Amino acid sequence: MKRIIYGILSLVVFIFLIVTNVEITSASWYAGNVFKGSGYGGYADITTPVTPIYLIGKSHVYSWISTIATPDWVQAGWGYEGNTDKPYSYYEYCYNGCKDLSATYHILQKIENINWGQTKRYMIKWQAGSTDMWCISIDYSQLACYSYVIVPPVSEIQALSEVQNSYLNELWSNHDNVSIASSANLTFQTLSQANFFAQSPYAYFMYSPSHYVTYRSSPIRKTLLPILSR
Amino acid sequence: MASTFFSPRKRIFALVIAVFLLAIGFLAVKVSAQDQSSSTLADRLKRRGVPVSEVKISSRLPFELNVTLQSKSATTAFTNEDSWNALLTEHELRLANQNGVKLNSYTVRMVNANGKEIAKHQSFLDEPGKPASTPVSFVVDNARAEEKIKTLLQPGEIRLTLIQVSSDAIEGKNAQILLVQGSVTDKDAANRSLLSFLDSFKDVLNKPMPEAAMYIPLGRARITDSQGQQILDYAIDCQTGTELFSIAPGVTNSFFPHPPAMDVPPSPALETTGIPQPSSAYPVLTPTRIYP
Repeated sequence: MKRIIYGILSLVVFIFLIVTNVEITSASWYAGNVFKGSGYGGYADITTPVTPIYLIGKSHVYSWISTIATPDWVQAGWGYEGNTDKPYSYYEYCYNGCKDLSATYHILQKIENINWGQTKRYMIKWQAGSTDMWCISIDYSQLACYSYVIVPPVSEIQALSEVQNSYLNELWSNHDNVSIASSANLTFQTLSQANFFAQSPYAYFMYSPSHYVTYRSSPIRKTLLPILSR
Repeated sequence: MASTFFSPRKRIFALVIAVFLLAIGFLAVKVSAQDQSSSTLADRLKRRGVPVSEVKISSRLPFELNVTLQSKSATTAFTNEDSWNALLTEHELRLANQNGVKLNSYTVRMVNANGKEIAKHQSFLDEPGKPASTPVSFVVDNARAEEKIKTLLQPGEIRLTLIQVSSDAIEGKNAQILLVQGSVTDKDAANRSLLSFLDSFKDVLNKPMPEAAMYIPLGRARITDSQGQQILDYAIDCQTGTELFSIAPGVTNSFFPHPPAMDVPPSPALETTGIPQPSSAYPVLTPTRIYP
């Protein structure tokens, strides 16, 4: 009897959590590691979750490598929106007044659908030229270069996972071989700084500063099962 | 006579000449095709109303195009209309590539009213997984599409003032462009409604709908507040996977990835417990070559 009451109670709590989190706005949670210093570029081998992850409502999950928002930024990684079958690889630029947004040019370019459990190397790098450019490569293939974005060096290169709209969303992403170019000659070195951070309920599991997993257990496992198992 | 003509030396000479003429012919055809492609592109952009000031072949082998757009801006900042024009330009360039113009890369430049370059980017087109565009077989109907869209959009607290479907100036009766305009009382109301609205807006555009005589690859949504100030200007090109956003400060940005607004906080204590070891669950990438 006690077990049934606990079960009903936990179901009510669980449904309440879901319902109250569907339309949360302006909310993002982050987890991962960050290089601090003079950044001219970086890359990371980022893996999508091995199996499809559960997202609540109109939610999105991303794992990427990015310059710090200065406020402009350059970014590449994988993303997943719950209403699609598969995640996708993308790159993104935000400039032309990314903060005051009076006339922002914020482009999100989806490249292709990718598989669950697939690893790709996402790279952002500054490239000197007649006009400075920030270039994007995915799996060694250079896709685009944009000028007038950010004057290098940037103070941070971030390799993070990002969850939007509900903290009940699942997350799992492997970041490996995270490497940074800290000089204009673009010599990439394995990230050795451990500036990890994670916003609860998301966390990271560190093998090394350049290799870590960002994750969150299933909301069912985290919310419902512990109560049921009492 | 015949034996002289077919002497080995002359045969080789004739062969070389033939190969040379063939190569010249091939190059002439290729150059002509490239010239044709660039002038066709300029013509298509003008028909779309894009203020293109120059389409130039910057390299023939590999084939590279340089497109210059004219902005009305007098400063170094460009406007949302400039962004929309850049999206249309990329739409044409990428579709040209998918439809047989073997374009290796293109550069889009934007110059302001004073002739100063204010934006420039280069895209490389050896991307994987891009399907050739396939025009739909049915004839679209703008009025029917508008009626259908009214039932599909979820505006929430946004008051929609315009739902306009027009035939694509280039693709004609086989593709459409959607423009939606609306207003909302304030940013809080916008934040409560934008996620659902944008999701429904994208759903309308994602696929051909023969039952509604509707196929809309290109769409734009413009939302203002009650004073007419911009809340959101959003554009999407479903055929190339491009999305553009311009949002007002304080409006939710939870529909695109972005880095944290501030520096990341100092490192908390390392959290490494309580999860299953994932090491066997994911494939390990073994780079097959060194990155240049």
